[in-house]
Amino acid sequence: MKKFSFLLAIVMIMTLVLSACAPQATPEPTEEPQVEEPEEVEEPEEVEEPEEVVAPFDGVTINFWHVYSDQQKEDLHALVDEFNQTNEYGIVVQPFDQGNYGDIEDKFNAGIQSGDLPDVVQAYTNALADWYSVDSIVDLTPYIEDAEYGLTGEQLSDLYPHLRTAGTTPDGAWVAYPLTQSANVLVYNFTWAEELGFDAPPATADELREQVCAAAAANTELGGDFAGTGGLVYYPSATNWLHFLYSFGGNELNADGTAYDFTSQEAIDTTMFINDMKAEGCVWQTESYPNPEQGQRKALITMSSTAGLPYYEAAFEDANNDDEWGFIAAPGPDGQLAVNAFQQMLGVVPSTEDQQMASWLFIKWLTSPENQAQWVKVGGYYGTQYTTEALLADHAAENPVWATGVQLAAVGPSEPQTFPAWSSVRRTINDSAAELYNATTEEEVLAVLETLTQTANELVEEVQ
Amino acid sequence: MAKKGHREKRIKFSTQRNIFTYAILIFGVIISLVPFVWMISTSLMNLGEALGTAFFPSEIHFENYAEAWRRADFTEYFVNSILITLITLVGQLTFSILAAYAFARMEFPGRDLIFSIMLSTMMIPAMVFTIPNFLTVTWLGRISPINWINNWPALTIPFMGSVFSIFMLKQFFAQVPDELYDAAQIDGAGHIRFLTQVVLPLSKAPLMVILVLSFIGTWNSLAWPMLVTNTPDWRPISVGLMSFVTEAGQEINLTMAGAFITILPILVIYFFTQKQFTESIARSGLKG
Repeated sequence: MKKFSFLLAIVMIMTLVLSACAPQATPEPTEEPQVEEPEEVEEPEEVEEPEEVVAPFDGVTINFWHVYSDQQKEDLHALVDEFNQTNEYGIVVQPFDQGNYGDIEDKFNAGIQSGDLPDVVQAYTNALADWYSVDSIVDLTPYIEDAEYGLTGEQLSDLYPHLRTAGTTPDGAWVAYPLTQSANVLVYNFTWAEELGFDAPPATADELREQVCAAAAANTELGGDFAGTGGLVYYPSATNWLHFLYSFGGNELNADGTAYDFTSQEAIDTTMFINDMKAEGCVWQTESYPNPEQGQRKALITMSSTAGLPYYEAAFEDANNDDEWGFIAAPGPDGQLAVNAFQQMLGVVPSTEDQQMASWLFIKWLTSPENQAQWVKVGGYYGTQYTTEALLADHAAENPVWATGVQLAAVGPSEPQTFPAWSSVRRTINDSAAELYNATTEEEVLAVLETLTQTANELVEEVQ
Repeated sequence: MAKKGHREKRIKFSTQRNIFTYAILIFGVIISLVPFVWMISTSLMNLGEALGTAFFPSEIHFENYAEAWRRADFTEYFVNSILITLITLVGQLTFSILAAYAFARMEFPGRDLIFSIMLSTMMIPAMVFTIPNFLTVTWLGRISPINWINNWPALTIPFMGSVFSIFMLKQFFAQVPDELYDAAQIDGAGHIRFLTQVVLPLSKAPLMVILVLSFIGTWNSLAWPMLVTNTPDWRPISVGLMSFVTEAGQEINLTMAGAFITILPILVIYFFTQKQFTESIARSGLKG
């Protein structure tokens, strides 16, 4: 009896402790309200007050997973609040920050198994394409082209040309819609270049070589810590190599776009261009991100995401360097400009037709030029439409470095993230980038590119 | 004379050996301390300096700590972490003690087989359990009166059954002499009384080890809490640290300030339990 009483006491204490810890206002899990709320709200209204005009999608609740934290999260949630208060459809959006892109992918993958998925998800394009292939993301085409709720022809042509391709799978499904853009660009020191005798950023690959070699020579003359620095800081990675490949007019696919092919003459020329500059001492590497080196005039040009702007500002400030600097695109041999553009993509998860249309309406509102401009101002990214640029004129005047990237946002292109196995292929390019950087002849380069092509196409076969 | 020479030689050799030993130990201490010193040093720099290669700040920025606390919303996350850790520890200790005692001192059919199966699960990488655990807590949340997802049950209950803790306690409980149990039985004690009044007081050291290791594990967990929460209401302090990591890079100075704030409770716990902790490690033969 005593034993029983003792056990009972322990159980009661545990129960009390655990109950006391229960949250007072724990929000509902993401999935449950989606299905239950519309039914509960809509039915009595339709029966009891038939004369009232019920807004389409009234009571539809949309769960939105995004990656923003800190101030960006607060600003995005403020925008969502505005949508909730002003949208004429009666849609309610609940935003949830879910960590970084990797966290969202983990969570979404687990949610595919359990059914706990949002309605709108922010993710990398390749993740959205992968989820589309397992029926967990919808093709947005019917919603975008919907006569009543879709985009007009004018609105569609306002979108930067490369963005439709970037979000569309090879079979033509538009699975990823861009919220904003960032890009891998060249960070260029205008003031130093001018002192070196160059009045304008390089317009061709040869001019780029001339400028970085002049900077390297200037620093070699200085000696000390500056010896061996000064030119282009190039880290051999998929992002950086592809950036130059685009400027040389190349891409990752064969002529008819049906398979990976990295053996083009453009790919060989790109690699040799970088390696020749390295051989001349005009290209060098830093141990970590090259922001401090650029701030200290140890690099005329570095490569970075436009989202890295605050880190460069900090580096220039720390080095007490007042030089004028900004973003430029990589120039090709014939003057073709290119950046490696990345988008912050949104996808819609399959549910009911109303839910999906409501999700699209929210995306449409959020990415409309006015709201996009508002979000760009706080988020630090770039727009996806020509009209947004015009709305950001004042912001550009106040932020001259950021402004240098505005024109580049439309340049593109983007990596073929919706092409099968792109994530794995990209990792293989990363692995091959160092080999390419160390190759000294065209034959060596071609051998690496042939292996890369073969591996890439084998990876495609594995997923198909 | 020869004896004196031999003793001098021995003293000289002993001194040289000590110098060598201390040199290696000091080197080890320096290696261990460098990351810690770097963390504190970087936490006091401005962003530009932190992005560079400087080891010590040219100017001290204590305000980084206040900013890290504010921006990462540590006030809320700190409370969450304390609650999650307390619930997990209470549950884990309760279930581990009872299970370990049963395996160590009670006879029942299939005992060794069950214990072997349980031990074999230690060989499976934790990541493999993620999806099954997620599906389990989702299902349990649907059939139970309170939500599991985005609530304390999903964050704590899966970690209340720790095979490592059960294994470690079982080894200690099995060493308690049978004579003590016989004596307790003569005094009218059953298993529960023997466990609470004899075995547990003798097992303070392993209990402290479990306490510290579980505390560290729960306090630092990130991937699982991110998976089973949608809002900050129950997210732990490690999530706050993620606020300083963006797509473009990391505000490394604030991250380090936040990291120092985050590990303070672990340091305090270790400070108070280090004697039992090291004693238990020595007795159990565990190695880091």
